[in-house]
Amino acid sequence: MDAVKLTIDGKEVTTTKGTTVIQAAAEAGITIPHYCYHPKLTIAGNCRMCLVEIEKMPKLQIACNTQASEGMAVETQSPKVLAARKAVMEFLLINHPLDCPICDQAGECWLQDYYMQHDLQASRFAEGKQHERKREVFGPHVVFDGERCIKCTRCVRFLQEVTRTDELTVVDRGDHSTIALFPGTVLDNPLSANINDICPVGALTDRDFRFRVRVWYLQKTPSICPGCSTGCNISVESYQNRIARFKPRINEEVNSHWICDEGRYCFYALTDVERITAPLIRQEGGLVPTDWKTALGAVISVLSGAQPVCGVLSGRNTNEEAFLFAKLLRRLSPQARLEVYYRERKLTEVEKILKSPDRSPNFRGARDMGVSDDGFEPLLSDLLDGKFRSAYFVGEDLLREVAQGEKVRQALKKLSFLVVQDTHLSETAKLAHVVLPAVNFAEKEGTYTNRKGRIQRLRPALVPPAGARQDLEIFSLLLARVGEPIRRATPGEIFLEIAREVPRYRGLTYESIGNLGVQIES
Amino acid sequence: MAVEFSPEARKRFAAIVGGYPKKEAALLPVLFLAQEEFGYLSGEAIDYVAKIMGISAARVYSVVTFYTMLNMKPIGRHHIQVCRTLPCALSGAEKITAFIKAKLGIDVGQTTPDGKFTLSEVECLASCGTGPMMQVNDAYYENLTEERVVEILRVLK
Ligand code: SF4
Ligand code: SF4
Ligand code: FES
Ligand code: FES
Repeated sequence: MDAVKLTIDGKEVTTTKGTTVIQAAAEAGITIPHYCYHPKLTIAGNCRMCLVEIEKMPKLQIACNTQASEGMAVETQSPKVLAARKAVMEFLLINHPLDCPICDQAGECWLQDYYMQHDLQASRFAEGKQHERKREVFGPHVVFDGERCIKCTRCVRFLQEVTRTDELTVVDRGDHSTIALFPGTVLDNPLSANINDICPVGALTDRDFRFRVRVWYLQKTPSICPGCSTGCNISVESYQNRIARFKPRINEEVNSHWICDEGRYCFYALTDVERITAPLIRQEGGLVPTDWKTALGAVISVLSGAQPVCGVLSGRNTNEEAFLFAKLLRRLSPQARLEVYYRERKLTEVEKILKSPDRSPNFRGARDMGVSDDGFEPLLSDLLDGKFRSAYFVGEDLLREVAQGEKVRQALKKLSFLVVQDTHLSETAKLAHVVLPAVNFAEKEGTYTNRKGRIQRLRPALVPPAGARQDLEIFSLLLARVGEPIRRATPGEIFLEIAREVPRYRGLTYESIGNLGVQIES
Repeated sequence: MAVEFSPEARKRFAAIVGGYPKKEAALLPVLFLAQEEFGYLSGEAIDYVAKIMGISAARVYSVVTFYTMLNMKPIGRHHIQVCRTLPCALSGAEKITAFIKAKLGIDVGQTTPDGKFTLSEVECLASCGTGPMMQVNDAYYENLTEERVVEILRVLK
């Protein structure tokens, strides 16, 4: 690749031939203001916000559509550029309703930010503003405010170029020009809510998150989507110990800038449940609360006497949890059958852009940790055939998940001992002899290994309810009872142990995973 | 009523598309053909064109709304299109439009009850040196004054 040398604001920058000025500047840490440019979409060049001065060129040029060339001298802060930016902002705001106090984008709006940085003047527009469609529902996740739209066409290009579903388009001309659906259609594709993220202004907002929390109150935790084994990088954004939304985090190795709609809203089903806050034990007449000592004692004494045992772990459990779970059950009985919950479904072409066919974000990691003998389906059929006397299920409501729910119920009823560890009293847990209250994906720390073998960090965004315990802690307490005490049962320490014992993970450190993960060979 | 080209239009469609290296490039002439066939471009007509062109209805819709000579509603026998872009506006287009509105008793975007005239405001028709101007069906009328408008409307049958 040919190298090109140029200067941007006097700074010498080297880039490859074919790179645009806006990209070259970004590589050098200089952000040129822009709206329509998006690194993952084709160039539209319509907003004019990225104007820069280039030596020997009589007019200002748009940085998003000008290629960097040898010896080019670019100014992004010259008086001419600053004046142009101010003028562009004034034009963009001519028909804008200036309704930030009631706009959900406020606080993360590029119009607000650039106004403060580059405009900062009162409107001189004395004429009547052009009115447009307000609050038009485009689809299940997207609502449109035509008066706030700056016609950057990011949304249109996303739907043409990424999903290729082509729902939105630019209609009409001049100051009547706006974004619209073809009459009678809706915007409903598996990635639709991404256009709310890339709309730089308050024209497209998320129907679910809208008006829930002002964005500046959100606490943002970098984590991993628990929706499937693609392992999209997300920011878990919470307020008052509840998740308000998921946002994608950029990771070119995994999800680029996107997440799917199913993943984006999957936290409701996982966190909006009535929590159990004490262990439960079955007595004459049903499940009653008990203390941890009694519950854990019963688990060990009865499980070891009721062989053969099967253990089913959720695909949302971390590698560290899987590692201890395998250790525990193998210690209880070398013949124990272990599996991580894993089922596939059919995906549509658009879903395939991002989604994996399962709902088990860490099935691969759990298998690497030894929580797998010969697959989930064979274990399920053996369970239905009554081949086990006891079972230990973690975090998965098998009665609900599996199509043969009624058969599963009959099979579980015949077990002499069933332990369920979960956040809530699921249908499956109602059949248990002991129920252990645990935590959800957003309350724990650890690692997931995605379908392609990338190890990524899950970080706690929420504080679990008093009474529930970390899955990792529960396993280590049980291990202590079978004579295998874990010295320090923190995710970091367990990960070190994994890095010593599990071949493909050898030599890794918890710290090296960072925010974007590390790849193990496939 | 199923919207579909007549066998004759079908032949013309094939000829039009054959004349372009990329099918999508033939969209405008195909839309003119469709408008000629169907009178105007209803939602069904747009859907039909999208299907035979192999592109999304949204894209066709975008083009139809951009070009003011493509109509999504039935129009009168004479489609009066007054240019409203800057040079014409500066030379008095607004007054001409107001005059026609009063004269015909309709608003912009409406058709006279006898089905004779439809009035539209359109963007620059590339005759800026002779504004104010308007296009009626395929003919240009330039350097308009109220007197000339009266004259033109009288002559149009
Ligand atoms: S809705 Fe948002 S993304 Fe789409 S054109 Fe308008 S401002 Fe741009
Ligand atoms: S593709 Fe999978 S990991 Fe990514 S957002 Fe969707 S459910 Fe979550
Ligand atoms: S970012 Fe360059 S013109 Fe919009
Ligand atoms: S401005 Fe009216 S023809 Fe150009």
